[in-house]
Amino acid sequence: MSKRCYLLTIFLFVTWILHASFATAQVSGRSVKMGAMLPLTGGMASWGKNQQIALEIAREEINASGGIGRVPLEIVTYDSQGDPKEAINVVKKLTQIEKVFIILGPTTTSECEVVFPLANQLKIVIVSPTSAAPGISGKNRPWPFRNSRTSDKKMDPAIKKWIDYYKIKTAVIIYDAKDALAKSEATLVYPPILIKYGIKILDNLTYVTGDIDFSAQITKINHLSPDGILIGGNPVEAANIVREARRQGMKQAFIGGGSTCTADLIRLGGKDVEGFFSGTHVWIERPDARMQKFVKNFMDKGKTILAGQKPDSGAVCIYDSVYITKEIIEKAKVTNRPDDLEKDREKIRDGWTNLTDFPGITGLTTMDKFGDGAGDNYVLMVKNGEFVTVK
Amino acid sequence: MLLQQLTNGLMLGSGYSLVAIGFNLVFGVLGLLNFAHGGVFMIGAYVGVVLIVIFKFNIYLAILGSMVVCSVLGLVVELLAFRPIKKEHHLAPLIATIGLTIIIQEAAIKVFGPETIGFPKTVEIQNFNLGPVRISSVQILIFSTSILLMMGLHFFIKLTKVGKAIRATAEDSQTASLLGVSINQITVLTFIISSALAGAGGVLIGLNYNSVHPFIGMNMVLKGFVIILLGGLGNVTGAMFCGLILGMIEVLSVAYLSSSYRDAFAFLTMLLILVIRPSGLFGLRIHER
Repeated sequence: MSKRCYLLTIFLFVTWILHASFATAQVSGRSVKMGAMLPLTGGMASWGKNQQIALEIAREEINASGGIGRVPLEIVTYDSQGDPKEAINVVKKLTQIEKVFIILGPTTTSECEVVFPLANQLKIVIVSPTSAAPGISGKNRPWPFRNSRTSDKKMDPAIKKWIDYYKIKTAVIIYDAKDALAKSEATLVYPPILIKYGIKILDNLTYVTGDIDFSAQITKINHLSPDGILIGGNPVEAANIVREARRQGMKQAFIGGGSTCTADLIRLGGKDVEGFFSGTHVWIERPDARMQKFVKNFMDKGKTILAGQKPDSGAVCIYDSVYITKEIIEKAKVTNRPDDLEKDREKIRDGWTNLTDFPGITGLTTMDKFGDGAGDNYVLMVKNGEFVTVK
Repeated sequence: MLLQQLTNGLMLGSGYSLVAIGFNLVFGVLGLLNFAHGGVFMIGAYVGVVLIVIFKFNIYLAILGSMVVCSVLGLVVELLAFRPIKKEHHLAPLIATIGLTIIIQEAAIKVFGPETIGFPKTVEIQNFNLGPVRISSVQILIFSTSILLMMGLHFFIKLTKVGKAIRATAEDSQTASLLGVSINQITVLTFIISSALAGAGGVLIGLNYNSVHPFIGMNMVLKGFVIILLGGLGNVTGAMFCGLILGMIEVLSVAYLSSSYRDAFAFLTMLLILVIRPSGLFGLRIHER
């Protein structure tokens, strides 16, 4: 070979090697696909809508700064309607047809109970940003996770502070008999905590999701005269329960599970919910720059003609979950090549399993050995129309 | 406590009555189960909120405004789901109204969002103690409005010429038209009255329970159906009383039995009535259609 030819060959060879190493280290493909299953219709629709807004914010932010490993992020969303039957269809579609890396969702514990085993079967990571009934992840290792806090972790310190603050000796529990989380809180989480702190439980009452009239239950509770009342259920009914209680002249203190700790409670309850306690890992008013930026973006994006509202815990945690997954994809060198789909999904699973002290906008997030979130928790109380921490 | 529970039931029931009266009127006069009544009810509640929040109306003007808007909506329902549908098949208009309800619901979700909203706190609600029982000003308003509207409707139908025309159409529309009654006009009037009542009901019930979302109409219409069966098909007075009875059944079953079966008790009662007394508690005879 002539000298020129020789140099050209060396040059081409070196370029090819550099290109090849570049290609294996970088995420390839047109887009990185994450899946989301949200309750966009049905009774949990506002949770779904809020998470959709949060996902859109995360996607725009990530793509504005170059995407994941320089490939744009695409989030494929399906409506699970909050219905376990539809949830199964959605998981199958996202895993097998859309071939996403990870599924963010579902919102309700009832859906988790059916799709977590399915995720194990299909070998795909599924991360619920909201489900909080204890034990669900632990039963279904290793693919499902919950970037939330189970009720027992949040409510133990909250109930303790509530009892001390209001000097409570007797209590009544009222809960939503149709909701898996509420039922678990009222029957499995609250009673042992109350007994531990020496509180007498006078009665358990129920209602069902969607009820608007609570006069019968409140009259009954009024008759029992407890010092305090615990609610298990969603914030809409919780707010109206407190409203009805105040209307019937009751002055007792209330405390609700983490799902009541949202702006909806204050919006619907108004002055009546002043002094309402809750335990949560998502404190919207946290004086943290990234949290407040997210809240502001969220309120701008989510306006309808009547309500421009603050994000709920689902929105915040799903936002964090997108960023956690992004970091895992980049650090674990996920390739995004179609042949590597199984291996890539395993890398994502390992990333979530070993997640320790990730700096999310909720605070530091870690996954415990059961696949549930562990990290900061806050005891909050409604004061002057906002949730504030209780000292 | 029993007295308060009975009062709770009465108050809940008067809300149901308000919705059931209009529902029953359309059925009595036109033989149509107008499921779009639920959609109109829900829009009535939203209109009330919009009028109070954006236009700063007071509650009475909001009720009136809602009644006006819902009358127009009722006219639209008549034009879209009733008039163009061939009456040969009994169920066709019914299904058309179900379809229209779904459209109205989806439109509400698009415009207002699916989340639950409440009435703003600018609407003052006072509470009164009548002896051992506590009632709110809204509940008194609902109760008295139901009774007033029912009485008004009753006298309208019994004493006015137009009311006579309505009764004639209800009894036999063919003969009535032979005698000079304009069936189209009566149909439109029936829809307008019934929708105005639904609108008023929407505002009052939305205000009382502080829960307005796109799905509140569905449940109301199902309860309305139970009430008209209980009260006798087409019997407006019957609808009024049976609304109250249903409210009391629901509250008492929640208070003394189990809240998980609240709706089950309502429908169980309906089944019992259908078996024991199919013409309803106040019905005189079963309508042949």
